[in-house]
Amino acid sequence: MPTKTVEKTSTKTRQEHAPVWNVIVHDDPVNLMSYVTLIFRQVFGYSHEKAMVHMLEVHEKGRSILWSGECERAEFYVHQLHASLLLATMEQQPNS
Amino acid sequence: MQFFFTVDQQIGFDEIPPLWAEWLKEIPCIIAEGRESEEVESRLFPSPEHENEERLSDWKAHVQPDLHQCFLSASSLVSEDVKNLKKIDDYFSLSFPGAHAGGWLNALNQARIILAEIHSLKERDINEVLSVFESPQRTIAILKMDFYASIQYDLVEFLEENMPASS
Repeated sequence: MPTKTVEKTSTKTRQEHAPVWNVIVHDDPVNLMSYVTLIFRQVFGYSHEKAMVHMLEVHEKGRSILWSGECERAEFYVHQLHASLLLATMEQQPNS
Repeated sequence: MQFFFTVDQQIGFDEIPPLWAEWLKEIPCIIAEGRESEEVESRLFPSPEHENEERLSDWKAHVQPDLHQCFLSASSLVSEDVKNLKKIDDYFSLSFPGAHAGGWLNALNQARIILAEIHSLKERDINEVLSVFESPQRTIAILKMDFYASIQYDLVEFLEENMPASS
């Protein structure tokens, strides 16, 4: 029993200190709105409605945070977005 | 021009005017020409992170070769498919497997981005009413971009309808 307690505490501490990265998509005058929505659905598995909300945020505010989490996964998503010709970057969250 | 898709997942276009058929054949050429431009290169292969030279260097070494291959593959697919353009009376017809829709979307997007970069077309140029007196080359580029966009709308609709439901 005591051993289990130690393992749990250790895992939680590691997760708390892992830096968090944002995957950001930037506005682009060429990509069609319907195309951007489709790519958000394909890459992140979002519903049509959620993908639309992000697409409109990109269109109106110039950028939208599509996903947040660990670095390797963020790199994977940016790679997928670049393969679909969207302007995407990753940024480490401040204080993460 | 009419978009169609069949029960056996073939998709395509009927009643394509001759000029538009030529513009379809031009897609791989536009993509090939774009590879010679530095502006196009930086747009097709953007940096994944601002102000991080180390990540950019890794990205260039490990990710960009894969992106090059992805873009080349889409262009090759379109290049092969357009060989199947068939002349019917005064128009053309084209069909290809529905599985090619993603590759077509990618190649059409490459072509549109390259046209915009080469002719320095900004959002205002793309969306406002055309002025043929300003520059015929830019006007033709915008017309091609509009034509390619119209195909993208149909392909996006096809892919949306065939996408599994998500949460």
